[in-house]
Amino acid sequence: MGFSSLDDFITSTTTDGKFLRTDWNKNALPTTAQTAGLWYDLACGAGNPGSDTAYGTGTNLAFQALSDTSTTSPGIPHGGDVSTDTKHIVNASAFSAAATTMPCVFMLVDRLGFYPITTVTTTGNQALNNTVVFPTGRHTNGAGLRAYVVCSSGSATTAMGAGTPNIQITYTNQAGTAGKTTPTVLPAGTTAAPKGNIVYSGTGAGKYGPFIPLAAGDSGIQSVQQFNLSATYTSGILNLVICRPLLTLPMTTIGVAAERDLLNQVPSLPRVYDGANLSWLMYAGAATPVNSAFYGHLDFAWS
Amino acid sequence: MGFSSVQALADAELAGQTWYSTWRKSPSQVSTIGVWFDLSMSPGNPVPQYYAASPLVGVPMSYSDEQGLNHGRNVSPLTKHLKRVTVMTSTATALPMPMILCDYLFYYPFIDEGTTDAQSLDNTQTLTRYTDGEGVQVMAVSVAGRTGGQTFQFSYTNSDGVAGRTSQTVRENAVSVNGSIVTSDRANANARGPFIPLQDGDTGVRSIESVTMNGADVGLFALVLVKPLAQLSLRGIDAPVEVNYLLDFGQLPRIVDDAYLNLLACPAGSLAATALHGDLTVVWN
Repeated sequence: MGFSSLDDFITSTTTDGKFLRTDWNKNALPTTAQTAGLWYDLACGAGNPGSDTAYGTGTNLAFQALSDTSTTSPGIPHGGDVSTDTKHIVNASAFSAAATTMPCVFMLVDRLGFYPITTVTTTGNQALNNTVVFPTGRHTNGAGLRAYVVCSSGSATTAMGAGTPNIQITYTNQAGTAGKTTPTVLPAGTTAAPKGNIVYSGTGAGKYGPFIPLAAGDSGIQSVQQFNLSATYTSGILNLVICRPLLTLPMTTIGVAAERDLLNQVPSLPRVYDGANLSWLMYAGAATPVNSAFYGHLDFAWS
Repeated sequence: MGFSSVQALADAELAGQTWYSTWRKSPSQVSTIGVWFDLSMSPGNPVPQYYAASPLVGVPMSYSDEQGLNHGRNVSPLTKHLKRVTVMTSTATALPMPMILCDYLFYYPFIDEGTTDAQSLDNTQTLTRYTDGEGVQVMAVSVAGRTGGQTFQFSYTNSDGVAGRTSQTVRENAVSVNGSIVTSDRANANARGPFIPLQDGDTGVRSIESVTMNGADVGLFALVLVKPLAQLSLRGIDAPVEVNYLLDFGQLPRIVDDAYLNLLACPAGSLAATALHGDLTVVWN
């Protein structure tokens, strides 16, 4: 349904009580200081929700779905299913008091799931297993879905090995066209990328952030058929994560909250689908120390 | 197509017809207060470019050749538009700092300031975007330092296709740092902003046929044809500047397929050791 008017919004959030505030606390990565200019998946950091232990586990190359009830890769609680109502983010904030954490950008995403890739010494196309499909109800034909590749091995803190392979996926786009591939210049992995690092982010040719580029004209991913490394990564585990980006929060100053009013300031009211697994990606603008703590909140409303 | 309404814009975003990417520029150059600077020559992401090609031979620029800010792939026959830009820094030295986002179209490399002969430019290749030159401006980017104080002008074909037009005569600054806009200076008479004024009545440049120095100097510059797309101003280190071009300016600047995007900046001090972090969001329909 959604909100038909400001009156409807006020009635829903006050009279009807269709409102939830959730506070969260996530730490920067646990083992390696974050590098300026690179993106990181804070699901791998400690805090609340807890650190991911699902990445890198399960059947190699097989898609695993994530939801708000996932226990080994939890998302920020948003109050459960509200269908036939629709839920939206009204306000968001984030801040840190930890030294040398600024500037940075947080991006909230709904993680639909991931493909663990343990065969990182295999070059060429590797067929992905789509027995489990992207969660229905959280996308329409893949529209708006994006992909990123992160290093993580369950609860271990293993980094990637030596190597700078080019990364390419073969996918079916939002229109149902199969055989679409990542265009050149291909994303290039970083050697010895640490746990939680989006491995092709950074500075230089073949560096992107945070998502893998899609082919010309494409605006989403229905499914991914193949994953390709041009050269060995020697060791470590990669994860191809499928997500929907929801909002960004830039921060410049330690101790000052970045606050986003998504009703009045940036009128967008991003929708949170039933089952959404909400998690933060982080762009580090400075060398960010291990376990630097970030705090914030999300306000949800539905009608 | 573009957008016929705000509803159409929202629908396009919901359909995933949007791209977000971050960029980071960390200049090593000691730029000068009040002198415009070309960030495409600075280290960071995207990788810098240096206007390096055969002297005086015009070269088209594109995302597929030189990268530039990542705005996603081609979307034709749909049209792509800039929705939002964010910039921030934690170093105050260069602030406040106005910035201009440009589509870099074409450059003529290594124009020699050591001769007062008319230097003919090779136009074997032509503009690949904004091909009539409407709204296309010219900037002179330093690629080798000079003493400064000399003047020059160029002969060009305007956006109506009229050849033999002559730019205003502009004076060079004494800034030796590569990437500086040679003709911008807050103290020099006849120095200008980032772009060189055209002959009265002209609104764009299709090609440049020759350049003439009115006095010899050392140094080299490139003449670069750009299409200015959007402006913003970074005021301080305590907050990011976030511009939503629809809400803040009532416009959605168009980004054509394969555009090479980068930024000009007018710092209030040296940009060296200033890391600029930013992002851009485009939407197409």
